[in-house]
Amino acid sequence: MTPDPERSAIGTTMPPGLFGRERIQAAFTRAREEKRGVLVAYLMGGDPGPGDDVAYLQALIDGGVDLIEVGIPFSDPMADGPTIQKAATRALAAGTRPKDVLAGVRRLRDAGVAVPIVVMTYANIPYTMTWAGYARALREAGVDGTIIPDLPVDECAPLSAAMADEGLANILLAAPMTTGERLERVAKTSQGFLYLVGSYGTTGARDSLAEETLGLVEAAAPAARRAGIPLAVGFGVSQAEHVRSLIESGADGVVVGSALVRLVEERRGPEEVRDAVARLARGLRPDPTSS
Amino acid sequence: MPTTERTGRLSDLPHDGKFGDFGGRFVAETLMPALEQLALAYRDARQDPEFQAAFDEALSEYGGRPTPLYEAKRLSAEAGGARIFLKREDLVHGGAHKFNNVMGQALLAKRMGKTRLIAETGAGQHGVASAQAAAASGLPLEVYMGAVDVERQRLNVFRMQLLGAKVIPVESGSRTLKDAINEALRDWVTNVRDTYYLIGSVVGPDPYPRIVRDFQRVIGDEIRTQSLAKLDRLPDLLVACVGGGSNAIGTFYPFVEDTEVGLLGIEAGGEGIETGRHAATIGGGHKGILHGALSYLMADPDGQVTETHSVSAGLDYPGVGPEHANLAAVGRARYEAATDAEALDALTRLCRTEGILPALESAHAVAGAMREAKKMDPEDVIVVTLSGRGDKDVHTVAEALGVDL
Repeated sequence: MTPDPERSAIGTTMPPGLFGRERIQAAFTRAREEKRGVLVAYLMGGDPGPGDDVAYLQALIDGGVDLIEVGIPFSDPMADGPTIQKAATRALAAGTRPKDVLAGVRRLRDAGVAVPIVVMTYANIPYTMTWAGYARALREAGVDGTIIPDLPVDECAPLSAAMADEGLANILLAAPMTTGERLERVAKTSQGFLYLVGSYGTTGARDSLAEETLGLVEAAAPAARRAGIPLAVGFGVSQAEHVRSLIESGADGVVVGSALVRLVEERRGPEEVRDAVARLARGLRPDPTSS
Repeated sequence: MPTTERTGRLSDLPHDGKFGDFGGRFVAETLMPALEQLALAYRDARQDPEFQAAFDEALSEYGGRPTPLYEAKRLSAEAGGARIFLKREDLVHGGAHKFNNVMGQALLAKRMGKTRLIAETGAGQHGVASAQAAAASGLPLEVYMGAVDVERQRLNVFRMQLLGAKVIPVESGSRTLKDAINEALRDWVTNVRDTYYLIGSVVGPDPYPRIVRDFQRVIGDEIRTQSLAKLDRLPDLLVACVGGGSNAIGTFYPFVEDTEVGLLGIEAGGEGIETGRHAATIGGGHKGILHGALSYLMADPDGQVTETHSVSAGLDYPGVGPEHANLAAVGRARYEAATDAEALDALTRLCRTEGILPALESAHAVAGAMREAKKMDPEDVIVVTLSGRGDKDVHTVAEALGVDL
């Protein structure tokens, strides 16, 4: 399936020429102007096989996503729960390589897609390419930023510098026990937005949000505000009501991953992924039935 | 080849969690506060004489330390050349050096007020040792073990269960040790508030490599005392096998500033480095990041961690402790490999000449020592750390030698 940028409202309304940190920032600015939250959606690159991801990523755009997070599969994904682990295993078994995932992003850009796209993977992938080589490869593919869960603020300086040199964002994670001065430091060091891990544990769709999640958002939002970057929250989000309650408690954006990856695992087509995203996106605005 | 300027003494490392270029804390943010908490608790424990006394008592009264430093005269004669001494870690409680580390960490976990232990295991040796320490400390233990290993090591699975531990088969990835570590880290991320992760080697994020080293250094400290008492001098060469590298660091660390003492780590050469089917991480791997640390590892050109091979399950791990990576990088220790065949040969020779059945892991070190002995003078002294006993390996050895039990 060929990407069709015309079907993407956001793809065509993002200001042309923007890339990297600025493109990420523009997505949040626009959502704020529209008085709504930002929907970030994750899928594994090269899942189920190399090149198969492009149609699915296009489906995310068609469903109304504001920012795409695409995974480069790694052999030892220690921050991920079973759904994304299996996706990584599937993609690797099918022969997906980092360059295949980046080539998929390049195809979307060449087709005119303007939605910000960030790559999530583990530290050994960029380390093996060299930090600077990785940042350059991302820039050339049209990627705007990256999320490396095993590269915390204490270890991220070389990659953050390399990404900054290319105008791209190294997005850091804050976790439930990240508080006080450490939270301020993570927020100030993160580029693009601050990604809040909304529960203890690994990635994975949960039926209900962990009870601590809303409180964590309320605690992290002031630090993100002080650092001047938006706050997006993820881990365990699977329904529109989750999205809505997170936005209402002060998050600027919400990340959905495993709930979508599971659809690919079940061999559902891109249309079903698009519809699932559209349902989730309804949670970005206040509930029309209340008030 | 030195990749980094040496700042100060090797024995003062790590600085900020780093051994030169190696080590660090490459973990999910969720674990960072827990590692900081562990580092602070460990610093307090080290400064507390009561903690040290409790550890020393556990090692001697429960563990049977000190272990002998035994001169293997018939093995030395067979090898020809230097005098070979064996540091008999196979005689410690549980039959391997693993005991030293698990007792220390279990005491630390109790001191921190943690109510649950988790551990990973490959062949099951660290799992069994952890189960002993957990039982002796009155803490519940869950052990993550690759499903492939659960199948291969049923005896050790049952041993752990007898000792009261729960064994959880890991079905993800290659379903072996590295995946068991991933799963233990995932458990820890989820239950970090009440759970202590009892890691089995000098690997993982800081502070683990230094905690495990400090609990294992009793091996080298005893070698020093015993060598001075018996020989009135230090050994010329220390030899130990290296998987993750805990018995080797325990052996080497007290001697890193004694530059007249040679240090030789023996990695698993499997079917030969040139075949690609081996676990010689320093000898045949690349720099990379796995399980929380920057070190050497076995990976493909994209950085995907590859599966390793060794007849010895305990050495069958694609990473190596960051302190070893640094000792190799600055040239303080040498790392060589012994193949499966060389290890099996050394095992049978030690059985026949000395009546000692070593673990297959330890047999790699014996093979390395015999090779070195030939190049040395008869008055030279080699100490080999015999990290464990070989009862657990009898089936593997029989199979490798073509014997149907």
